[in-house]
Amino acid sequence: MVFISISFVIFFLVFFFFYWFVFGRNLRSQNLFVLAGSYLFYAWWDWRFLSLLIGSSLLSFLLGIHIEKATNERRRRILLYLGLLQVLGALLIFKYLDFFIVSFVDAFSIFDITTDIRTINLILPVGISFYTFRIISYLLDINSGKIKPTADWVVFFSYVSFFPSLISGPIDRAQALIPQLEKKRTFDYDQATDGMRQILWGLFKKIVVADNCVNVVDEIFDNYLNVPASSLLLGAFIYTIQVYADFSGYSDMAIGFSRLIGFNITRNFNFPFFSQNIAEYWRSWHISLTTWMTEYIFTPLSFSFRSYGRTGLILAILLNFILVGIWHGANWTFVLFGLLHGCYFIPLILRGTINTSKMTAKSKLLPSLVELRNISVTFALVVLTNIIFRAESIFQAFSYFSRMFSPSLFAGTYTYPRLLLIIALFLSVEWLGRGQQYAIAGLALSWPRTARWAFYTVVIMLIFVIGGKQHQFIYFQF
Amino acid sequence: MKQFLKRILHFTFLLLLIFMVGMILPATPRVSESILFVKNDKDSLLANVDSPRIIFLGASNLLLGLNSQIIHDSLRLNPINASLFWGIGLIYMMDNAINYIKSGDIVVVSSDYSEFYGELAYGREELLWTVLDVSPSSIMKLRSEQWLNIFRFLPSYSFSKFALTEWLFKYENAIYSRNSCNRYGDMYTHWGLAKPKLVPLKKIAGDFNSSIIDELVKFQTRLREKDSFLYITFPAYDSASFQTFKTKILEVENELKKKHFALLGTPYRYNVPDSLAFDGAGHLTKEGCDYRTRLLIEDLKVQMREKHWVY
Repeated sequence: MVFISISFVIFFLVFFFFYWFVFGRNLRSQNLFVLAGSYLFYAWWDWRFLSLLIGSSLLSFLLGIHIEKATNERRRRILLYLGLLQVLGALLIFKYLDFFIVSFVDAFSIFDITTDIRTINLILPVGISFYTFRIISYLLDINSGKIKPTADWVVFFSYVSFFPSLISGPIDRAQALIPQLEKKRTFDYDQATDGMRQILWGLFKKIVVADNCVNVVDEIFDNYLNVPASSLLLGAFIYTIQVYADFSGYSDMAIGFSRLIGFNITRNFNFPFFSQNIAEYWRSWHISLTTWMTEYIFTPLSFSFRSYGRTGLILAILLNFILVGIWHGANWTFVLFGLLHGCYFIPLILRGTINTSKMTAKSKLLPSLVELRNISVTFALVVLTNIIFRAESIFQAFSYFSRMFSPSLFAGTYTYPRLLLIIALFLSVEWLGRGQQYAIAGLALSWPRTARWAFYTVVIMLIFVIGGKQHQFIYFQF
Repeated sequence: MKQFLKRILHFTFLLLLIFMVGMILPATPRVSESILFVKNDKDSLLANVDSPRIIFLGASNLLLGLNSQIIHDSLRLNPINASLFWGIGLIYMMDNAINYIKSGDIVVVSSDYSEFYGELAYGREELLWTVLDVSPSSIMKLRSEQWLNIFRFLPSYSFSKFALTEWLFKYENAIYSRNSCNRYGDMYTHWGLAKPKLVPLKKIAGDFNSSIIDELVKFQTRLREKDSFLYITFPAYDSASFQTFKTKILEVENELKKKHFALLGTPYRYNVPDSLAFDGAGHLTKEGCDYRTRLLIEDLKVQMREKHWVY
């Protein structure tokens, strides 16, 4: 069940009604209903993997309690490792095993050694990368004493499988979501209307922007050997917009649906394309993943390497971003993608500006020239690296690059005026709304109701009239 | 909560009102010039052309893949290329054509392979536009499966009526417009044009749908009741489209054979060189149309000889 489907609309309407009007009086029954709804939502994709989700939840729930109860450090560590092993083991088997097998066979073939190991071609359970990270953070936080394990299995199971963010994030942390599940929720008019607005903007991003980009991007990337270099550059640019509109659109919808049922889940994007350096970019792109990685990977690593000074910091950043890359999928392209992003941090570390962050063009309509230069350089790095992210292999990525950086870069290009107009409109709205939680959060709020409703109506009509053909969300594959 | 629900209801009512207005507005100038409207001309051909007739029914592989003049000259039959396109769906085309069938008509169906998969044969948005704008009288004849396929396009249909571009820019496509067909119903405006980039077929969605074969069987029965005859032939695909979907293409042929349809040629025979393909799978240049038509004539002659028909 995807958010943009008739089945989900019916599901959510029924869910909303029962959630507030039937189960609203009793917290436990309301949570049970959240859990049942989440499992139905997940089973709609593939009921076979529901057992994996339930199994992981059950084991992690029990381990969480026993980690807390463990009287000695050794026992505590064994229980923690057991918990990590079961969730990471499933992730490794389903997502990375074939990649390791292929890499292993390839490595041996360099030395003319043939091996008879075959790939197993398992189907990747949808959302596994997201719920695995939720469980890991829960176990690690209990182990470090940051949180107490919940004694209510319904709360924990609902936390792991919370349907608005189950398939594609945001990756909520236990300390943010579990207290909301443990507390009675009351309907809040402002929260609900804000959620509706965010869903509307998410739909616009996904259907009007991302889905209109798909065919152009596919056409350029599938025929990259036959199109002029200028079109390849345009293709990389449009792909970058597509990924952002697709993923942030999904996140907006997830946050919006959560708000309608009284939850505030983690913000996932903060206008990353207006970042002035790569560190700022990663603080505003897929925020729930980067904060997760910072807390559980980068911080422990930089602590371990602290005696090496800046070199240690660089090493920690590189390892952290290689893992960010690998999180996206089992392909060397993702490793290189992560490594390059890690490398872009090196000048910032050397200059000591890694933590510098300021809002671009604060209280101004346009950025200064320096800000514009910084934004452009950062965006260009992101666009170029996304070629590797999109490519099927490193060879293809380099082939794309070598064709792109050729004399025909300045030749005529395939133009897509309609799409470029949509992108320009989209980026303009994003720019004007960059101080908000999402671009249209504050837009039209102060207008009279008639004007405000007219605005919403126009957005809805645009979604139906100029929306592209529906395509799957990109981040579902991760 | 009460206030929220009240406002949501009010807003939904407003949207419904706009939706209803959109539904009753006439077809926009842009749609009126589109190729959707060739259906009326084709219905007129079906109603008025004299016997002996040979009627071609299918998707764009026939619309942009036939030179009926050659058929007329070689077989001494009056050809009617009643084919429309993919998004209308084979089911609608068959249901529409059956009303015009006369005794002795030969009907040749060439459906795109993708129509045998998933629910495509029941139509997509083009069908909705056709029944609402082009041929409103056929709206009551739609089947429930067709409505299921197309009702989700109702909002885009209605709201598109409010797009200024639909009214202000009367844009006629050089190739795909209501004036693109010749007197037999073949699309011919692209015959003199430079060959654009060929885009092979990328996707055939869904599993094999055996109910489409059953529908063809029913269509054949209805034709027999009217003393007419059905042949089925295959689209002329370019090599890339053919190779990519070879397994599915052969599955279609195999399923048709199982039901003992009179088949004209084989998918392999109609696999044309890329030089004869125009802009997409099954769409042919003038030379391609001539080539495919000649193959079709050879296959028809074999079949007719077997049945001792005079031509």
